[in-house]
Amino acid sequence: MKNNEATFFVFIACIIVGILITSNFNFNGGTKTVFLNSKDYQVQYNYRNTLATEVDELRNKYIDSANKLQGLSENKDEKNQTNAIQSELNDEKTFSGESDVAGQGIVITLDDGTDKFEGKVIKSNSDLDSLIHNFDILYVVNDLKSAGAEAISVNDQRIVNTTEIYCVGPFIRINGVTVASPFYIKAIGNKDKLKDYMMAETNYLYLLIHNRGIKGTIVKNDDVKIGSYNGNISHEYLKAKS
Amino acid sequence: MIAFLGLFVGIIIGVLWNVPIPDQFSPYMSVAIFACLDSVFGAMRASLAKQFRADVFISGFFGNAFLAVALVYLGDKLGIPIYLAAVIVFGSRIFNNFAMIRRMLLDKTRPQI
Repeated sequence: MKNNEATFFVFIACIIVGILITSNFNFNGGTKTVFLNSKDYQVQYNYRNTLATEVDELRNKYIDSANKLQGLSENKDEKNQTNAIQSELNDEKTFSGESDVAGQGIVITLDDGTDKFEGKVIKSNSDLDSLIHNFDILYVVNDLKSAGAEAISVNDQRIVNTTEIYCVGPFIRINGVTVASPFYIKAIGNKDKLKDYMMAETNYLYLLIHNRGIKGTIVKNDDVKIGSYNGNISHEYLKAKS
Repeated sequence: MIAFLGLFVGIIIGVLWNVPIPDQFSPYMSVAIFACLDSVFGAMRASLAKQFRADVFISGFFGNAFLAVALVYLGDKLGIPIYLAAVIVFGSRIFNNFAMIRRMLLDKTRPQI
């Protein structure tokens, strides 16, 4: 009798264990559960968001391209097609710096603070602080970019993606052209935002003007004109990845 | 034998029923399953030794599972893996019980001299 009782209970217990085991297993081979601490969770969450944004962007790009393709294929008239392609080319040129642009923005003037050198022998390095170096221009241009400037030129040399700002003795070389002080840096963008950003006390331009004795002004302008990049953009090794 | 039959039936029921258990309870369930397994082995040994008592078995079955889950929860809150204690104890007991079951079964089947 006692043995029967034991068999019965063991049977019931085994059924329960079986149910528990199967409920814990995943036979579908679908989602695998991983336990994350809060930091990992944060990382994964951000990763998911990045991916979602990427997917959105790609989808928008796809819709744009599909619309463009449809527009072009619907236009049976060859002239219309040429016009559409031409206008797109112009747009692209505007963005890549190959055409003249205009718009609201700021003009920054920087000049060496050489007045104090008058009738004086330069002895210490600190005197050279009031000269403008290539990296000063580089920092200012970088700051402008991060402030959201859409087009930038230094002494009418358009800053494009291949532009170098290089030190050549007493001058600076930009786009292969040697330019000298004073520097006129033009930038197109939201003029208030640009000026506020550039003149923030922690920013490079502010330190340049207030700590280094460089003469600088910054002027808002409703119609800044920036010329096109006048070199030629050649691609010898570069290929679009298909 | 009956144990395997029960396990089989339980697995069938579990697969067909597909009891939804929230993911965050998964670690608790693992330890609870271990505790239940330990009780089952204990019961089999006791029944072979003819010492089986239903009240002891039932209280052990649920009590052990509950205690194990409580330990896991406490460990989770305190930040130390107390569940390891449960796992080690249950694991060694399962092996002990299995060794005794083995001996008893072998003794039974050994030809009487």
